[in-house]
Amino acid sequence: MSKSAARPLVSVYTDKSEVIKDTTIPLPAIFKAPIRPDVVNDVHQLMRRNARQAYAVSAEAGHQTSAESWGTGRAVARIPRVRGGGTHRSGQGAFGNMCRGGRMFAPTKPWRRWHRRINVNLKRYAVVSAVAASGVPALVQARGHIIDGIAELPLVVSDKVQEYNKTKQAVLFLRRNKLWGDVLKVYRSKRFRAGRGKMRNRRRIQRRGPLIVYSKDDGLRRAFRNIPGVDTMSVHKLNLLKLAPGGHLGRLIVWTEGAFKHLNALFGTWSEPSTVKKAYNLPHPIMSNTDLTRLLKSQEIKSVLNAPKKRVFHRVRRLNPLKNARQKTKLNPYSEVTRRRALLAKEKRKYETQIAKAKKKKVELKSNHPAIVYQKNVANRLKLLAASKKARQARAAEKKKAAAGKKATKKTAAKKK
Amino acid sequence: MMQRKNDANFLFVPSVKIEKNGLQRNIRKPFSKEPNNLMNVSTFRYSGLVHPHAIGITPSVDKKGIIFSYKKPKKLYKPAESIGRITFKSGQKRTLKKVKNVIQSKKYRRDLQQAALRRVSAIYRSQKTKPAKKKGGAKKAE
Repeated sequence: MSKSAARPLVSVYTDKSEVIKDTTIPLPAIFKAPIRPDVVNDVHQLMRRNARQAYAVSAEAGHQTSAESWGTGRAVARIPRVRGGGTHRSGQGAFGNMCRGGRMFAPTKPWRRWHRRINVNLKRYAVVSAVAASGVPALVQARGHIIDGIAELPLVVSDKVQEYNKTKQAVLFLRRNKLWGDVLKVYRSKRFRAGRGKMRNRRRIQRRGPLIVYSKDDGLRRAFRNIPGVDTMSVHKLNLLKLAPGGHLGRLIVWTEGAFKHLNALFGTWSEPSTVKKAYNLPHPIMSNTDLTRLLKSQEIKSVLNAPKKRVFHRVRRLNPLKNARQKTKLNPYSEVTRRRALLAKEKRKYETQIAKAKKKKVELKSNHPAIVYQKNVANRLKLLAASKKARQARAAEKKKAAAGKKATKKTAAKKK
Repeated sequence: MMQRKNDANFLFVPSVKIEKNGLQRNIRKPFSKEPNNLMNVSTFRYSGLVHPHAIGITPSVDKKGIIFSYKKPKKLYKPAESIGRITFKSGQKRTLKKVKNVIQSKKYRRDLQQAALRRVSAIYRSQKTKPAKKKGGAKKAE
């Protein structure tokens, strides 16, 4: 979206959605203008206020009584009370905002500042942004329009459309250019407004469909006006409220060829000012390159960054070393030894007491009694240990002998020499 | 792209209410209704609108396989031609391999690979027919 980018060529489509050969229009500079959702939203809000009708409470409301306070000493609150007698009303509180039938707090006045003036340049900035946004498929889709089958964005259509005078033609045109999906969405979105607006002549609401921008109305307005959701607009009178409904960018716009071609003259290109608007040129973007992905991958930015932290640190559940043996061993490796020794000692003690008891009671334990088995295993283990020790010692002694023998032969060999 | 108040993204869903096992759950994750979004989540990486390259995986119409859609960056401004679709009808294992191959060989958004494969598996799982319930064990003749 930079102004230095080459201007692509946009094809013009017939009303049957076929490309018209040899007619391509270079994309007007306005589509490369900065897209400023904040400006558009602000200006949209301000512009919306300009269509308001005043409302106010009646000027005398709450004051059409000659109430006067009863003062103190009467065991009632001091607000003015209605004079006289003979009705419920007499003696009731009046005038205050807290009183029933009293005037409201800060009665609304018709001279409230309903309308807002907006700087001309700001208005134009918003319009420019809105038009630029309408050329970005992502924004148009995000706004909710159905653009799946549309041939090109921005969609430029031959000037024949301006000569339509039958709604039938208009519908056929929309169908052929794959804009009907958006209109169908409008049909499906028809519903009653939520809230009091229903009883204030704002009963029904629906979505916005495509917007047709024309340069010369030879019947187009009347052909399209009965199709729900479809708006028409002259390119000479671009309206932000229709270009960015709700203050949201990305309306689906269909341009007629004449309208599209007129955009450069209307808004200018950066190299040439506008020929229609006095001393106006397109707003300059602050960033020349707004491609976020390119920026993030660029050398200038990468070189200043720290290395990425790819190692993921998962939260490790804290285990209690007093209960979890592994965790204890992590902290105190010797605990494993102690624990094992304790277990073995326990085992030994258990079986020894069993044997002692049996002896005392003069009971003979069976050979497969665990205590007897234990005894046997212990004896066996000792035997094996002793045997292996002996074997180890024998091997060591042999090694010594062999080493000594080698040394002796070396010496004798040396001596001989 | 941070979701600002002004931004018109009508495909953005701020949270989803689900009823599971009789419990109402309000899942507050930035979901998205965009077409080419593998996780249906409104984040920079998975967004189908923001990037010129994006992957979408949807069940095929005849409920036997998936459609792998991808964006063609050169046709970005021609919405009718901008999305290419490949249908995979073979079994789950083959399809997974094929999808992975497509992504790897074209080097097309390799950061979406895992998400793509998971979505494929999820779709296949949903397309499996549930086995008929076995009748409660052979009853002894009375």
